[in-house]
Amino acid sequence: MEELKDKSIHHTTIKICEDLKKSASFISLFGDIQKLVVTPSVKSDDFKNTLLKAMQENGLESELKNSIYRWIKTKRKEVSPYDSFFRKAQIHWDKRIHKSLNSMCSELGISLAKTRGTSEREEILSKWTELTNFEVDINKYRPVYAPRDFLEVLINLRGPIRDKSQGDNAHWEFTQLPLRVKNLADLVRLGFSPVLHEADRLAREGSAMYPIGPEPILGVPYSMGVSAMKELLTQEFKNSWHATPGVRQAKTHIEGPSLKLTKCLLGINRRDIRMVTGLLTGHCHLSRHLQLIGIAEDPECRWCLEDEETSPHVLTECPAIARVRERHFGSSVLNPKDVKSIQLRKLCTFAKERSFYPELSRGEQILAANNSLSTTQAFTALEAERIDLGEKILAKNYAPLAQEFLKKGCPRCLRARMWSLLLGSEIKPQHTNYFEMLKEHVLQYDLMTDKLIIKDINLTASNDDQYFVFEDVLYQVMLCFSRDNDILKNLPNQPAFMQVVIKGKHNSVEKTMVFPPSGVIPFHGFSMYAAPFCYLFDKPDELYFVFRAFYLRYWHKLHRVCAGSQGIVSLCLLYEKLLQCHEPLLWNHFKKYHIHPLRLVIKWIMRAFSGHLPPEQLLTLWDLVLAYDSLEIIPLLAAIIIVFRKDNLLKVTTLQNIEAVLADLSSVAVIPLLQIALLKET
Amino acid sequence: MRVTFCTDLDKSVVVSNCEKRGWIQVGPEDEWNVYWAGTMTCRSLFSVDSGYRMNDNQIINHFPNHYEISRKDLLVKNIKRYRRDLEKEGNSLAERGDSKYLHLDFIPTTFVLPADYNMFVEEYRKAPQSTWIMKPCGRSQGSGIFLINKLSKLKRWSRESKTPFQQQLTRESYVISKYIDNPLLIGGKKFDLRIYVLVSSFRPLKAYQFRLGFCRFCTVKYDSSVAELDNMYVHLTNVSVQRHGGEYNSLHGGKMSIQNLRLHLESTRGKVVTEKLFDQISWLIIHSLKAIAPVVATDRHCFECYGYDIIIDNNLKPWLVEVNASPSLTSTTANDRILKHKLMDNIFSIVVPPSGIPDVRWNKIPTQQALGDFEILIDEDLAENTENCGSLKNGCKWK
Ligand SMILES: Nc1ncnc2c1ncn2[C@@H]1O[C@H](COP(=O)(O)OP(=O)(O)O)[C@@H](O)[C@H]1O
Ligand SMILES: [Mg+2]
Repeated sequence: MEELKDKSIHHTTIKICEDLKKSASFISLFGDIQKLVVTPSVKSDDFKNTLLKAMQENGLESELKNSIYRWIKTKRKEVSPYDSFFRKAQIHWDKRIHKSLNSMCSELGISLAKTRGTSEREEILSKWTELTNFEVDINKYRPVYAPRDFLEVLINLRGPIRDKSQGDNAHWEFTQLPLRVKNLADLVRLGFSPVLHEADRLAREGSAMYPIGPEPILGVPYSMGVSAMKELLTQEFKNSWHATPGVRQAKTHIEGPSLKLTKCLLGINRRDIRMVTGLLTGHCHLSRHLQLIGIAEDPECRWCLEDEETSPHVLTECPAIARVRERHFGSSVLNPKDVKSIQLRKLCTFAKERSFYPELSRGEQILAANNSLSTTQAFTALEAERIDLGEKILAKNYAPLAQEFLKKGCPRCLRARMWSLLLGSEIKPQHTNYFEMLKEHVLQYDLMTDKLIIKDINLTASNDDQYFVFEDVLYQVMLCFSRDNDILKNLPNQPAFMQVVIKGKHNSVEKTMVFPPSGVIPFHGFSMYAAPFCYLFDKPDELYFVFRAFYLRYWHKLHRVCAGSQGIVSLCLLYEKLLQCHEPLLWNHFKKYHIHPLRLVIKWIMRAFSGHLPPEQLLTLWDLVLAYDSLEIIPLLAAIIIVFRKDNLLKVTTLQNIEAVLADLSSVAVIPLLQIALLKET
Repeated sequence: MRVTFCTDLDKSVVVSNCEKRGWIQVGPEDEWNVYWAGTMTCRSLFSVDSGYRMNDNQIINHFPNHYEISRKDLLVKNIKRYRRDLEKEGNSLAERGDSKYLHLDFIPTTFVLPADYNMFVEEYRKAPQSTWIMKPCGRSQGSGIFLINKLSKLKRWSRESKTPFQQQLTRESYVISKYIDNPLLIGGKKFDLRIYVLVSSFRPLKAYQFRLGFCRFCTVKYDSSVAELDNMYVHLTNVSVQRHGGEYNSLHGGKMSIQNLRLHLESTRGKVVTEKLFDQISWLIIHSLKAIAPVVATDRHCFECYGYDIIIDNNLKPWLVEVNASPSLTSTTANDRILKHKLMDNIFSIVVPPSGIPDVRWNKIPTQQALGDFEILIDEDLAENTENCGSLKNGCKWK
């Protein structure tokens, strides 16, 4: 069993190494390691240990850890039996978009891609920082599609037939797509994700069993550097999945390595394994643990505020959750020894009792700037405390800590750095060069999508009092985005893309290009994905990489048909379920007047509320997306807003009037709203 | 008792806010309790020959000699006098370093023309490369303003404006100020802040700062080159100037909220410097008010709402450009309308006692709720009672 697991870990490690090698950040990381190797602190007679030690000392180790953490995030993949169905649907939709692009082109008598003339190139170059003044006639262009069109696509999705015997029931309505989504209670309960922790360093010390190749003479031979890394990765990865015995709390609860335990663990799903091991070993979101790794200031139990919050405390004695224990284990106070005999399933449901948006659902104090609060002394004190802690985390340069930190609200002044750390988008020289390259591409080629982008910014940000000042930055960022081939490469389900011939210099050989290189055709409001970042970054290139990371992690799921709990379909479904379950009255009201409840919120969801919430609130919401690494908060907020406006909504009966009730979100305070809704549920 | 109001501005913000309070509109000849008047009306009402005497239940929205702060030359004169007086007292506020005031250096170097011409030339010679801005003392909305970068241009202008038959008519005085040529830019554009300040009394000083304000952006990228010196779309942030430009967008009117500016600055520059900037803004407002307090004919019937124009330079230092005694109540956009409605509503909440009936015998200490979006900038009554004026705005030492 153990062997099998080791094998699979080994496998994953190799995969990580391969992927990391390909990533852009690796080159600089590897360069740095090479530089380190030639320093005196790395000795050739004890190469491995001294290298590892040196890496730890100069922060390269945390860089490496961060890379792995981010890798796990991007590779986290849910497989659904309907994947291929959704993929087909998206490809079909992509093709429709392409068709409409093509017909717009032939209507207007233009080509999709052509080489720019010298004078035009020079003009763009000279106006690069003020592209508003680059005169292009965009009147005749129109957005290829708007959220409303995408909604049509979603509503008309015809799910696969699950059960042949149901014959005449073969067609699924949108709301009956065979996807499972959470309900409100699930959202409150779900998920402990153990933090990759510092304690694992202890474990690494004892494992020097991998042979290291010949001694380096000049720099490190590539393969050897990798094998050293690989080893490090093995440990890293191993430790992130199961805590090593030997740690105090684990010893109390688990009786040595046990085949039974392993079997049990393997019998339940992976998320639960993590949860249970976390609870048994104390490596989960318990205050004491969080304090140890430097996240929480205070080990005090958050429920009873009396004792230290440790696993034994929570599992056996905490008075504040005695009733919960009783319900799950049959007794309100347990003897520490009894813990060993509790069935895993029970531990599992017990653990699930708390958490997922736990900070929100417990009504904890979360730093959220809203007008009424931001002047009070309590706010000032809390903010100072958060800034202090945040600076420490940034100094540690450890991405998982950044994620934890965001759960309780991010001070404005740290947000840009915190997001960059979490996403791994801190700007390095190669990023600047890459951005320059994208710019060069913009200068060289005139793509039809450029006009769509300009048009889109013109229709949205330019008219918006929150974003108009950033118009010029957005032009740069969005044009470069369309040129970024890495996006196409990194999108999980490759979109259908076009290959077009570049019109241009007559005598040269015909060249083709992927159109657009990013594979992403902007829709109406697309630039709003990037606009809020303008508040965080002054420099376009810095902004660009954070925005791109966000897009690759999240935003693409909002405008492309895809399965999985994070896909737009599930998110829409989640919204519908929440509304239907919790406000049937409102639901029926909409149905009665033939108003599709999704119609009211699709633009909020598709744009992740950008342009709808004021920037401060929007950034707070996006903090939570990162903190919980989930988009589910978006439909949740959409449903809550609708519910909170129930009284006014019930008074009106036309789509127009309903939209009027929902038009102004300037008074929405994200955190309090979510707290009220989630608190109710607990 | 029914409260009545009178206004000679036909502004819906004024009328609707008064009506919302159940006040009844009456004419100027009738018995009014609240008068929202233009500055001219106000001055004539207070003039000796009008013979009008207000009773205890009447309040009006201007001080008789508000021009002490709103005229560009008088503002400068008063501030200069204030600094000199403090210096004579040996007050540490008037400390100097490098010949500049350390704490009270918040207006650009300014001279009145023609009166101070020689002093100006002397100052000009110290840095002949710099740009200066000429502004007629009594006008507003950017009219009559121009930039100069050479003494010869000023001489030519003075010759031309003295053509014989204009001479008697337009002996208009001007101020000439050092042009702030390193303004903070956002998106490459220059902007200034419009901050609203309500004063319900000068002696003791009671002033409130409105939390909601906005930045007014130029529509054209900032460019300090000589070629653009005459392009007012680059240099003047007045909406009344910008709206005539081709780039003007009436959906946002070039206005961004101060909260959003703060969000941007805190996110990109950090909390400490941003906080310092906003503290300095409050600081300069308080001292500009203290500077005119001794010369304002204080009258318990009066209150006034000022529109402060402030420019931030790229070192995040705020500069006081001018103070308007009748800030525009016209709304250019939907958000603007909301803001001005709130402003008006909160002003009335503060100046009218809790009874709802204007009364000059009231101690003018509004409740916390009545403040709405205003924050106490200074209240000398409170400061004396509780001795904690220092904690109202940290870092301010105006006592
Ligand atoms: N010293 C200065 N430096 C830079 N810009 C200035 C200066 N003085 C005025 N301005 C610009 O000119 C505009 C108009 O000046 P202001 O003194 O407010 O006159 P007005 O009464 O016509 O509005 C200001 O809003 C500001 O943008
Ligand atoms: Mg002005």
